[in-house]
Amino acid sequence: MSASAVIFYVLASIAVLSAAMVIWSRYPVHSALYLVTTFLSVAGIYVLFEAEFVAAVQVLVYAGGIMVLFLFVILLVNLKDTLGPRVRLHATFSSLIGTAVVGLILYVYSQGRVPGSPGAAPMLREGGNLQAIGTSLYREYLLPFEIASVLLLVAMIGTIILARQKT
Amino acid sequence: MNTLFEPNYLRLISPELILTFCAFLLLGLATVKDRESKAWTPALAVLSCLVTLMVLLALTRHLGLETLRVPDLTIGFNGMFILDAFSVFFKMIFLIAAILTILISDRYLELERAQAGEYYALILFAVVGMMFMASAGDFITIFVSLETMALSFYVLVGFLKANRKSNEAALKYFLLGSFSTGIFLYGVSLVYATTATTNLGLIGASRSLEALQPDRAPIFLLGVILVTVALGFKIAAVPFHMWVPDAYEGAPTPVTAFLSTGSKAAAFVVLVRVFTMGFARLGDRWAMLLAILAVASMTLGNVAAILQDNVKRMLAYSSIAHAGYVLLGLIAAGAAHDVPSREFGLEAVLLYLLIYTFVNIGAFALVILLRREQIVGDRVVDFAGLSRRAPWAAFAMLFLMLSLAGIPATAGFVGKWYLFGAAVRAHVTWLAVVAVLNSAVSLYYYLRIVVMMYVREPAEAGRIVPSLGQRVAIAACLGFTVIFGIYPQPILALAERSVLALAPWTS
Amino acid sequence: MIDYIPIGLQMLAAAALAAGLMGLSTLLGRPARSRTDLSPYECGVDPFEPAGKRYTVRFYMVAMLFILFDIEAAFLYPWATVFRDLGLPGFLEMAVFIGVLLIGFVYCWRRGALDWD
Repeated sequence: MSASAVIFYVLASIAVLSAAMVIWSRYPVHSALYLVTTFLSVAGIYVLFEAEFVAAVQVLVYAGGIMVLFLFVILLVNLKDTLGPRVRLHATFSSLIGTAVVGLILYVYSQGRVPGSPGAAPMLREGGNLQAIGTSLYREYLLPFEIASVLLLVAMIGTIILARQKT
Repeated sequence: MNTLFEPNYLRLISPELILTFCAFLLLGLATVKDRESKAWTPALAVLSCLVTLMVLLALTRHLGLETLRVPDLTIGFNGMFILDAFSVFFKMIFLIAAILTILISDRYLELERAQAGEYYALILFAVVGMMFMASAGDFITIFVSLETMALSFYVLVGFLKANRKSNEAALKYFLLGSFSTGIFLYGVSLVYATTATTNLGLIGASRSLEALQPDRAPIFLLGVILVTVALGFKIAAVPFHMWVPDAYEGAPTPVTAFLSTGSKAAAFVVLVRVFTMGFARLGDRWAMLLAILAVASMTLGNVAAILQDNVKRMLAYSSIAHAGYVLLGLIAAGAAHDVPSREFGLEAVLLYLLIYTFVNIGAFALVILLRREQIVGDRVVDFAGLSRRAPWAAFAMLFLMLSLAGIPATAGFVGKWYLFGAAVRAHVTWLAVVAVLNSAVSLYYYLRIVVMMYVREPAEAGRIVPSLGQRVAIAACLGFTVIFGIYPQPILALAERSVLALAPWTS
Repeated sequence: MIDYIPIGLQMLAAAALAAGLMGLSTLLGRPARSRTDLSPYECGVDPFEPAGKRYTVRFYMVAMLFILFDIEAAFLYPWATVFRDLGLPGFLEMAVFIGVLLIGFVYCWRRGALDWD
C-alpha cells in the first residue's frame, strides 16, 4: 500500500468513526465536536486528492461557520427529554433501512469501477487548482454562479423572516 | 483563452433578469414603513409576472422558437441554459401559477395577520428558480436553481410564524427537502464520476454510452436511481411523499396551491429534461423504475385521500395521485419504441401539468374563500351548503372537482385522456388500466365535496363575498376548465409544438 | 506532498502543546475530590436551575448571516487568482454577484437584523 493510501484509510476511518459518534453521543455538544473531527478529516482527504480549495472551504465554512451555527442551535433549543420510546423505535427502524441502503451502495461499488481521475486532473496540477477552479467557475459555470447569489439572498431573507422577533 | 460570455446571452435570460429585478424592488418595498405604498405590493407582483410573461412571449416570437426544431441557436452560457419552446411552455405555467397564487393571497394574508412584502418577493424568487430549472441544460444549473426555488418555499411554508402547524410543516418540508437535495447531489456525483461531465446534452449524446460499459454501468445506474429518488421527492411520488400531507396542510393555503402546481411542474420539467436528454439511452430502464412510483403514487394517494376530513390534506393526497398520473406520460416516452409515441407521451405531460395548474389552484382558491375571521374553513364539512351561501363559487368548485376526477367536458378529462392514451400507445396498457381504476376511486372523495355543497344544509347563514383577486382567479380557473374542456385544440397544439424542441433527444 | 510537511509539523506541535498542557495540569493540579468540587458555584446555595441556559434566537440569526457572507467570501478566493485573466467581464461578473448580496445586506440592515435590541 502506498503512503497516500495509508493516509487515506486513516483519515477515512477517523471520519466514519467520529460520524458514528455524532449519532451515538448522549450530549449534543459532544456530537458537535465529533462532527468537527469528521469535517476536518474530510478536509484532510480533500488535501490528499489535491483539492486544496475545497479543503480550505471545508475548514472555513463547515468546521468554522456551520459548526458555530450548530452550537448556537444546540444552545437555543432545550434538548432534554426528546428521546421517547417512539423515537427509539423510529431510530431502530431507520437505522435498519440506512444500513441496508449503505450495504446496497457498497455492493454496487464492488461491482463497478470508476475510471481514474476523469480528464481534468492533469490540468489541475499545472498552475495550481485554485486558478483552474477560478477559470471554470467564472467562465463555464458563470450562470450557476450568479444564480447562487440569488440563492444566498433568499437564504438571507428567510433567516430574517423566520428568526426576527417582532413582525 | 476565449471568453465564454457573449452579450447575446443576456437576451436569452432577459425574462428571468426582469423578474429578479422586480423581486428586488418588492423586497425594497417591504422595508418601507409607509402603509399606503405597501398596499400596492400584490398588484406590483402580478404586474411583474405579466411583464415577464410578455417579454418571454415576445422573445419566443422574435427568436422563432415555435418553429425551431433544433435549439442550437438558443443555447447559452456554455450549455448551462437552453431556451427552447419546451422551456417556454413551462415558464408560462410557472408565471401563470404565480399570478393566480398572488391573486388569492391578499385576503388570506390579511386574515392571518401575516401581511408582508417579503411574501411576494419570495414567490417571485421561487419563480426565478423555476424558470432557470426549465432552461437548465446542466446538473449544476439544475441544482442551484432547484435550491433557489426550494429555499423560497421552505420560508413560504413557514410564513405563518404564530401558527404551530405552519412551523411544523416548514420544518418537515425543510428536513426532507434537504435530505433529497443530498441524495440528488450524491446521484449527480456518481453520474459525473462515470461520465466526466455534468452537461445533460453531452451525457445523452455520447458519454452515457461509455458509462454503460459493463465496468462502469452499476455505478452509473446507481447515480441515475439516486437522481430519480431525489426528483421523486420533489414531484411528491410515493414512497417519497412523507412530507406532503403535513407540509400541504400546515402551509398558508395560497402557498399550498403554488407548491402543488408550480413546484410540481418545475420538478417535472427537470425530470423530463434529465431523462429525455441525459438518460435518453436508458429509456426502457427508467420507465420501469417510474412505473413502480406511478402505481404506488396513484393507489396510495387515492386511497389515503378518501380517509381525509381536512380538505387541504385531501388535496395533498390527490396531488400525490396526480403526480402518479403525470408520470404515465413520461413512462410512455421512455417505453415507446417509435418517435411519435414518445412525443405523444411528453405532450400529455405538458398538457396535464398546464391543466392541473389551473384546476388545482382554483380548488385551493375555494378553500381560501372559506377562511374567515375565527374560522379556519379547511374541513370537508365547512363546504356544507356552499351552494346557498355562494352559488357561483360552489358552481366553480363543482366544475373543478369534476375536472380533477376527470369527468368528460372538463379540461381534466382531456388531460387524462391524453395521458392514458399515451400509455396505451406505448404498450404499457396495464398502467392505463390501473390509472382508470384509480380515477374511479378518486371520484368518491371529489364528489363528497360536491354533495356537501349541494345537498347538506349550511351550518351557518350569511353569504360569502370573495375579494376582487379571488373573483378573478376563480373565474380564470373555471373559464379555463370549461373552455378547454370543450375545445382543447389550442392548448393541444401548444403542447405539441413545445415538445418538438426535445426532438433531437426523443428520436 | 512535500509542501505539506510544515503544516504537518504545525499540527503535531499543536497536538503536543495541547497534550502537554493537559498532562501538566493533571500532574501538578489538585484533583477534584468530592461532588461539591464539581458542582457549579452558586454562592454556597444549591444550584436551582441547570447551568445550560437557552440562548436568544438572535445568536442564531447572526451565525446564519455570518455563514452566508462567509460563503460569499469563499467565492472571492478563486476569483482573485484569475482576476487578471478574466479582465473586465470577470470584474463585472463579481460586481453582479456582490451587488445581489449587497441588496441582501441593505435588506438586513433596514429590517433591523443587525440591531441587538
